[in-house]
Amino acid sequence: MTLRHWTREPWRAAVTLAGVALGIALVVAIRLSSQAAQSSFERSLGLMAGRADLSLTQQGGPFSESVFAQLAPTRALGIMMPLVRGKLAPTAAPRDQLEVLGADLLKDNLVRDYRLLGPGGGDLGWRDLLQDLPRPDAIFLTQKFADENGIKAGQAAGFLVGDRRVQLYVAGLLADEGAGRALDGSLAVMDLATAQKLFGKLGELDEIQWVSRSEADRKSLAAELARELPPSFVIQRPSQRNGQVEKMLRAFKTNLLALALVSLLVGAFLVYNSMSIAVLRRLGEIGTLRALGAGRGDILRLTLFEAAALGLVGAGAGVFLGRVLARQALTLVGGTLSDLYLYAPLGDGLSLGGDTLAWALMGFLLILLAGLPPALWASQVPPAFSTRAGAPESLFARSRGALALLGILAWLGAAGLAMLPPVGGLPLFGYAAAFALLAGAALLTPGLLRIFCGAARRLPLPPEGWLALRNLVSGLGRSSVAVAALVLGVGLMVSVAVMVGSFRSTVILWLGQTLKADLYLRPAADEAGKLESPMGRDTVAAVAAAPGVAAVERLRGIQYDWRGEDLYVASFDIAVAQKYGSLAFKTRGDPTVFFEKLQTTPSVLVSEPLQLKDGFQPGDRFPLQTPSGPLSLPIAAVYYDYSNDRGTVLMDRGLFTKLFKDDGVNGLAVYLKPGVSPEQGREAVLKNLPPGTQVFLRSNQDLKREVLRVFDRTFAITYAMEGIAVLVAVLGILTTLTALILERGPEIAVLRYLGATRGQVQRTLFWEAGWMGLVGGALGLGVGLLLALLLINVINAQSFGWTIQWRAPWGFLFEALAWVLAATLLAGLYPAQVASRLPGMKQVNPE
Amino acid sequence: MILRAALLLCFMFPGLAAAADPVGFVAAKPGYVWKFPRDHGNHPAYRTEWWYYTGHLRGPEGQRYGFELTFFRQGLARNVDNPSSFTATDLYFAHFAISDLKAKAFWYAQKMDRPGPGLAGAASGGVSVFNEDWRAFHDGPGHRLQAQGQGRSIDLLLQSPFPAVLNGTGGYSVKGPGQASLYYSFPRMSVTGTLSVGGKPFPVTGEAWMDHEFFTDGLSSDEAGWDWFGLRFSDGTDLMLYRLRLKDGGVSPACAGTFTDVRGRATHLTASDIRAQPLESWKSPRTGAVYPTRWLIQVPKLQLTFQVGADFADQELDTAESTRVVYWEGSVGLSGQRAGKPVKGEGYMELTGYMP
Repeated sequence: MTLRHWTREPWRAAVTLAGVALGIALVVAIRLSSQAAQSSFERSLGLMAGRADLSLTQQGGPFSESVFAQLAPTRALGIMMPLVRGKLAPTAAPRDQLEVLGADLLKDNLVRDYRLLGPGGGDLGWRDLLQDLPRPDAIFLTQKFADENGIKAGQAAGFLVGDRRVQLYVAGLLADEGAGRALDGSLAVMDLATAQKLFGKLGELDEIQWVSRSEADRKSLAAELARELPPSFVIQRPSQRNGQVEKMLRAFKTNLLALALVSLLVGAFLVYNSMSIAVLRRLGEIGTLRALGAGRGDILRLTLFEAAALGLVGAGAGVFLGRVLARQALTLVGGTLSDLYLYAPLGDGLSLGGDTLAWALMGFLLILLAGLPPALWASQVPPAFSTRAGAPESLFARSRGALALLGILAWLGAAGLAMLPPVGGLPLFGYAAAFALLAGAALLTPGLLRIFCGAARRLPLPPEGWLALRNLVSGLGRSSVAVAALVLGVGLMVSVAVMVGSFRSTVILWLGQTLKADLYLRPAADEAGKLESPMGRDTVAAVAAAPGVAAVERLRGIQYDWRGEDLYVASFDIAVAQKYGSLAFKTRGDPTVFFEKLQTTPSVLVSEPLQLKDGFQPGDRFPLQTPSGPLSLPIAAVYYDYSNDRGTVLMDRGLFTKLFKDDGVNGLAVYLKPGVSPEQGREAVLKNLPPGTQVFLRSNQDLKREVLRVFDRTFAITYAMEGIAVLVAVLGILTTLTALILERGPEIAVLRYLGATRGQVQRTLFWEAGWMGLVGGALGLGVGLLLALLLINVINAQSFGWTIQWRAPWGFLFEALAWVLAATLLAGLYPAQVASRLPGMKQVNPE
Repeated sequence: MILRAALLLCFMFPGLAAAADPVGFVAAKPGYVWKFPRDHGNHPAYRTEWWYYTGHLRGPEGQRYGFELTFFRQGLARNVDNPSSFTATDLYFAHFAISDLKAKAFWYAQKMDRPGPGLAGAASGGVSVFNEDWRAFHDGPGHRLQAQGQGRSIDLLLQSPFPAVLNGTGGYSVKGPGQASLYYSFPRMSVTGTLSVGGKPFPVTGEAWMDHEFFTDGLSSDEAGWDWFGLRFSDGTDLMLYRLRLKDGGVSPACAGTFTDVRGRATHLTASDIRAQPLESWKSPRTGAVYPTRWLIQVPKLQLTFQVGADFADQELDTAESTRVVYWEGSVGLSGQRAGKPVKGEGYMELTGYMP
């Protein structure tokens, strides 16, 4: 019977399924793609760590190789492998950054699995390896990378080390297996000695790894290292890096998943809506079945079976569609991850893990749950129920008060939940508040719709408009469900638009306050702007000496392991910043005082996330483990920084150089003399660069544009997701209206009989669609603004630790609402046509 | 033990040996002026160099062990434009083996390292070579050897009753047309010290053989393998022999030996002085190599005839983690006659190039 019903109305089945499938697909796609991104990164880390089970690094970068000699006795407990790391980019394609592992190539096969191919294409012979080993320019690239960049083994190729152009000899290739597949091919291997020279790390190591003989040996090794070395050294298992990556991505992933869940929720509304309509349409049949002896339980099971079938087919299609979407999402997510967090080229793996299927199952259960209320109503239909509609509406009318009460309670709950602190760095209560807010909005929709219709009836309206209002109220049970779905879709869209818009304008404001220099310079190898590539000392001197340059501000930053997460410890020339530049301070007070303090006493600034997420306040002390020993520095002030959600500890260059024994430079801010235009300055700087150097030189305007481009790319996936949510909601309007019309066939027939023209019937339907779009849109706008408040002040603040200034993009919002209204009117087009084609007299006969 | 490892290295670097383009290295020349202890030390101007110690040890309860501790240096390049202390200008290999002659059990370990920092190296001026925590160095007039691994260790002091014995002509040992090495030995050093087996140390005494050899072009490319003997006779004399087997099945005319009398005076032996005939063989179950483990050796010039055989068959080393060759090097015993009188003895035998 149920199947027959759905095949009789294939369009509604299709639309409902499409809605369900889209919701599930979105969740599946987000899970799949973020998992794939993360596991690809973890796999790469695993391949690069090989069998190493202990790793030693120092806070702030490389350490003296004398540590290696000092730790020689630990060789009794396992293989000990010194490492130098670095980054290279081919001169021809600086975007294709290479992670370089400088290892002891004589023995690296004891730790990592890869196969070296010689210039001939066959395995690189042992004696060939030994011949190339002492060469100060030999590098091994992955097959994939060499193919993509048209590089051949046995030839020289041009690379960028920071801002320096070098020619390296490609001694061989890493076969496309094992570690040769790490980082999607963006890995290069060279001998330790070569790497030390190339990366200016003579006498230094970045890491020492061990492959211990047993777990007991690993433990005693770790204990011995901790005993032997000062606390600025970090001793960890290489797999602990995975946890750090996971932590780093958690907030980002959770946000995307929450958005996807809202879409799934919209899909569930659609099912609820569709199922309710199906039950209403078959009241007569159900009554007959009951009369023929079917029990309440039978009807319940029958209807639930229907929901299950919908859920099952929807989930199946959703998983399938999700996989397709995941490939697109992977590009977007991956791009974002590498922009925001790390250099994470993505691998191939999109595997349907148990976790993905669990989410699909959850989607299925949600659909089943959405089908439960209609099923319960169906089971309460008494035997031989009259086919006349109305009874379910009266049933609905009875529970209307309860619904409204529940809605108010949900909103009160949302307000309460929004006050609660994050759990494990995640705004779990914030998400709960968001869902409570949405649930409350859905529950309040019938009441609000009724109030609206009552009020609107007093307006001077044409008869069709008035009739449409009456129809909406008499079919409130169904129409409010469709409107509620629209409220959710629009609410989601509005909230995200407000959040992203506010965020964007905040960032623009911040860029204006922070970026004051005329030109920004970074090594050419650092195309992505991560400020991790070294800049030559002679480059810095040449830029400072260029005619027209008033001052340069040197920037140097390092990744700092803090409680298992990556913090950014950065430095610049505070005196220059004070004289020429500025900083967006959050702490109230005179910036001059802060700048003075940084220069006169050892102290730091911390960026906002460290205040919002970790509670550091001005005046507190920030503990640091440095190569010069542990110390804790007073926090002079908190400043705004939207470039890093983990947080930055900022200090004067002088202090940094002393503490970390590091005088590297990653970037320069160049201030020009008055009257020198950016173009003139740019030319002068480029002309003055030492030969063989290559840099990125951006004007102030260019850099701002670049930052916003990254910003927009980050939110591309968010825009795509809210679009899908609105689409599903509009589909809901279409199904509801069509169903309502079919159900009201008799009424329409009476109208026609009474002399209403086809046009008048059509117009009534349009009015109905319009009213629904208007109410849904307006309510959605209100809910969306509330949700945006929650997103900005609770969810975003707790997960990223940033203050976002509220700025609603009203123009965009009204434009979007107009489109929603147009879409609902469009959705009314088909039902209106159906209605106008209904025959006149025939339908009235049963009455 | 002239060229033994030369052959090993030759198999490692067949191309290098044939390339004859030893940039930055000098060739061994006749008339080398030896000066000790300077020449016990490193000679970085030559491409290949090794310090070889083999010997026999006796414990207080009559335990009998053979040991081998060898250090190789293989120069890869000179004048490299990289000041990094990790620069692989040389490769250092080391092998450490213990033969338990009663239990007929053989154990070995190996190391391979670049020089620095502090990984492996050899100093000039005297015996001073190390590879990680294995080392040989001057301790008073003697050589001290220290090595350990997997519950086994040695800490031995070796002293020779007489000065270094120069092999070949004044220590210039010709290996073929244009190939030669500089080579001296201490064939009979007295040993005292400590041996640990299974983590249990006990005092040992015994006798050992030391070889030190360096060269740039050591072997010709038509040679297939190498048999070397370092033997100490019960009458206080010693004999070193090596045979170079050619790829065509013959024996190289460069085969040679050195006989040392009780006072340390050397007699140089050439190919025509030596007759050697394999009597028994053993096939390695691991590698399939078939080694001649018992020989009949005659040196008519010295009125010497004896049989020498492995104390037990399985003393094979597979050095995939260092020199990347498979060879047999182990403790041997001998019995025969010299000038009509019965003579016994012990020593070490090395067999290379027997892989199928």
